Amino acid sequence: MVKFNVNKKSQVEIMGLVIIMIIISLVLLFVVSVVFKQKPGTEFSEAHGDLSSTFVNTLLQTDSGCVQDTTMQDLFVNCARSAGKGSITCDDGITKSCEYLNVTVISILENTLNVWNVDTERGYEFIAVVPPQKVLMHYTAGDLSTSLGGQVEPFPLSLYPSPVDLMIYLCVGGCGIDY
Amino acid sequence: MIAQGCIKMDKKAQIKMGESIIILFIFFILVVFGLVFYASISKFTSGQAAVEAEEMNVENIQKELRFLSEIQCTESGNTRFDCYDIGKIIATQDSIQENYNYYAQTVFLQTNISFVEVFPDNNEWILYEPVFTEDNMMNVKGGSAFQIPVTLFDPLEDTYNFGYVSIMVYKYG
Repeated sequence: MVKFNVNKKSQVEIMGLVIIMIIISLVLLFVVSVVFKQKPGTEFSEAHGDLSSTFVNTLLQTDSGCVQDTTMQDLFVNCARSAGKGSITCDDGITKSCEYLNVTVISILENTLNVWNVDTERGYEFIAVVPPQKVLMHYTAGDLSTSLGGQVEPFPLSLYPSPVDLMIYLCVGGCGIDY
Repeated sequence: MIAQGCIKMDKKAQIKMGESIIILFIFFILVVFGLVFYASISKFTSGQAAVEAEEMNVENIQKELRFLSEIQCTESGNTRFDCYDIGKIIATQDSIQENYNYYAQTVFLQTNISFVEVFPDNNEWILYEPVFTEDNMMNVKGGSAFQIPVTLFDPLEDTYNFGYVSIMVYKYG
């Protein structure tokens, strides 16, 4: 009689353990299913990544306002070809293309990306460089130290007949490149 | 002897009760932890779903705008990508007012669309603003603005200017 009671007791204890194990495995299953659930729809993150390419494309097509019938792209190319000095003098008779470009691009960046809070959310970096080491422009906004680095897709502008291209980077979250 | 046995049994029963209480305590902690975790995850996913729906809405509006022939820049019959003619935008503002129902129901829905010129001048043209009824107004719980850089063609100066299109999507509660 005593033996039978002890057996029943141990069976009940084992049942308790089994229930606890089932509960723990259910919780684990739920956590795993939530963590590894595939993220649906990445369309807009791509669109957000397109921001830098749309921005630079639009910038390069914009009329410079320095000299008639010159675009920002013309000024970038002129600035790069003249080793960062600029051989085009603007209509005011004083400002050279590189200086004009610097002021204008920073003004556009500040009136757009800063107004859209890109600088406070992730920070960004604008770089115009002729490899290996000639930096025409380098502008950063926001705290890039907290960022892991964003899009590093350069926009090459041909400097023909020179074999090297002018590379323009606009990286949301920092470029993280060495030049 | 019998009294000693009773004390021993009491002690055993107390220990068993303590065990049961601890197990129940741990069980309830696990339940509470699970509930909190579930609530935070469901809140996060529903928020994400709302943001994604909003972004999809913006994408659709952006596509509509890109192919809206009323405001596109054209050069010798060819359209220029991501470029909008300021003259056409101003003309279309009137057209939208005259055919408000068509644009509100099939093109722009409940969004606010404006073009902002950043360089060389600072100007803004509101292309479309939804008209809210009193009931709609009560349900609006703020909105999010999305900006896309575009070229704005000034036909009077014959210049291509830098600007952006701002698409404001309203949230309903």
